[in-house]
Amino acid sequence: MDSSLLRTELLLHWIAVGFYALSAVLFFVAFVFGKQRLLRPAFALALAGLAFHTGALGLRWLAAGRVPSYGRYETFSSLVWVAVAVFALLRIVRPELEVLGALVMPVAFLVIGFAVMASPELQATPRSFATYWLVIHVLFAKLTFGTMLLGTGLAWLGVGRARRLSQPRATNVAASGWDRLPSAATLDELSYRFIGLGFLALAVMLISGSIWANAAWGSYWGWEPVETWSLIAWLVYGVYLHLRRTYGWRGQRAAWVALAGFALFLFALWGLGSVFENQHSRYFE
Amino acid sequence: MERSLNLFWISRTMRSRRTALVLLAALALLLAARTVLPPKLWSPLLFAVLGGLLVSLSFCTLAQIKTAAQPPDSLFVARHRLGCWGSPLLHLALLILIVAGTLMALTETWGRTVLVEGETFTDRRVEYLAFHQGPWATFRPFRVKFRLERVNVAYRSTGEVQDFETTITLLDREEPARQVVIAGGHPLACQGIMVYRHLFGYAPIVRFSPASPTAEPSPTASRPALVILDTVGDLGEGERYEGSFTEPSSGRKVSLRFLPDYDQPTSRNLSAQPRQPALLVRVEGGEGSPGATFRGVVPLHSTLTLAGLTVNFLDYRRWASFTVVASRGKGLLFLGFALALCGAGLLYLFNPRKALEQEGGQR
Repeated sequence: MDSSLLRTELLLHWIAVGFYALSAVLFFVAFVFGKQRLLRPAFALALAGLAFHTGALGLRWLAAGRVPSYGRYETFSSLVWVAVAVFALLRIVRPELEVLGALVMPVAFLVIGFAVMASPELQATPRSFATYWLVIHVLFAKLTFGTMLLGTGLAWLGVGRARRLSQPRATNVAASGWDRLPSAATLDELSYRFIGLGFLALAVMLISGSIWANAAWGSYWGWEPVETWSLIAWLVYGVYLHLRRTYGWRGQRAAWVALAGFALFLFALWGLGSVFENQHSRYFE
Repeated sequence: MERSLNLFWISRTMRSRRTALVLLAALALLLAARTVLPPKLWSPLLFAVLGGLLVSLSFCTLAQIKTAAQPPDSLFVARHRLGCWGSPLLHLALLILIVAGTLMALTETWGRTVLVEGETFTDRRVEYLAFHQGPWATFRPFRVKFRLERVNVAYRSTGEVQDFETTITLLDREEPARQVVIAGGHPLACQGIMVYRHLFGYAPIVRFSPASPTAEPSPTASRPALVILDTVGDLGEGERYEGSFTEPSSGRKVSLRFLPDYDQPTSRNLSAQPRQPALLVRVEGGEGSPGATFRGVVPLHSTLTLAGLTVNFLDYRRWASFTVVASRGKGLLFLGFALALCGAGLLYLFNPRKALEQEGGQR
């Protein structure tokens, strides 16, 4: 990769960080202080950030000749890209969920901030990375992150919305972001749909990873910490789906299970590297 | 009567979704425990839970297939009916995956072997460093021989190891010899057996002889020895190549460490790329000082005298280790994968309960 291309890619990344930061601040102010007019510019800033981010990752993909998901810089940057893209799509389809940006954009800003603090140097990858299974594995890992973030966020927004409605309010208090949200039942149902999609994405991630592992190391399942904890997260989401479909769990109870699943997935993704030696460490560092 | 009641109770318990939920949660907990606790503690429990889950899944799957196969009533349009098959398919897939995993573990033949460049692998059990077989596995001799020609290593700009691949020659008695590259993610598939490259390392060729000209050299002492040094650490993560053995002429313990890029003025190894290879030699015990340890570095094609021992670093070769695997059940595994995806997809895309609610009806 020539240095001018690397500089352009870095610049685009930092511009995206700037837009995400501004968008996160505006969303937060709009949500907490009920400044509804800020929601539209906040979303516009998020879209602008996404455009620059797309450019940055596109350049990197082009230069590296592989999916940009090797090392901390690329892994976390692409994770944020998928999360913001899923949010943008959701906002286009369901404009009333614009306020969800107050959750997604601060997370996006923090994670991409963590990514760009790492070395942006392009790393050559082993030959075992030259496979479509890896592309599928990585893309679905990111899709899992994006959908589970939104699903868990929606579940808790639903819980907050229900609480807000149950509390008595003074008439002269300005309407906050809570009041612009759809009903708690709608948020709960949307959360279920997102977690269902995340469950599917996590299954694809596990299966494609397993096939790739067999090609690389001769075993479909090696009980490696990251794969074991990803499977645990998948099982917890399986419990969540059973509880909803069979026992009709809704609201706060379901939100706790969703949060547990998301926490386990995040632990598999980020936390394990610092606790156990594992094969995935080098892809996140 | 009592017996039939017990059977009914067992069947009802194993079919219950509550049991399935408890088993799923137990499996998740045991898997978490597995990463921190020793196998003795969790293994029996894990197998018990997996066994229970297998029975529970079988009952649940049968019950769900029965429900899904029922003829639709008037409210149930065909488009939504497809969704009824999501859950049975996903459960069936999990069942198949557990069966496939068990079958693979029971029928697996797994071995790991080391070859130095120029050596030939002929698949006799004695040639494996490690070997295990499942109880249902039959040892199938790998009728095709192969010779390791080269170990090709790629380095990063920093000198760290990036990747490596091995070039082998397949020596089939029935076919002309042909060269094949075994790389990461690109194993050799031959006669139902898979051969994966695992690690690589160095095997220095060293000659040891007594330093004193009056000493009587033993018949084995002056013969060059090929010493396979273990790879310590993963590729690209500060790997080292080390090994120790007992020197035959004196019976003393000698440790060797391969330094690929040794810089003499600074006495440091600069990178993993073998630009200036040297050997760090450590000899325990010497003439007149049995408890002492002597250390010295000998560059390639040089000689070093250490504690009454002359060490001549003649040459070096690379070695590669290979994992040889054969098992049954791969087709079943892929069937499980495909069904899991179809089931989860149908479950997600078609929600019959929601469709019913929208249509305001009940099944």
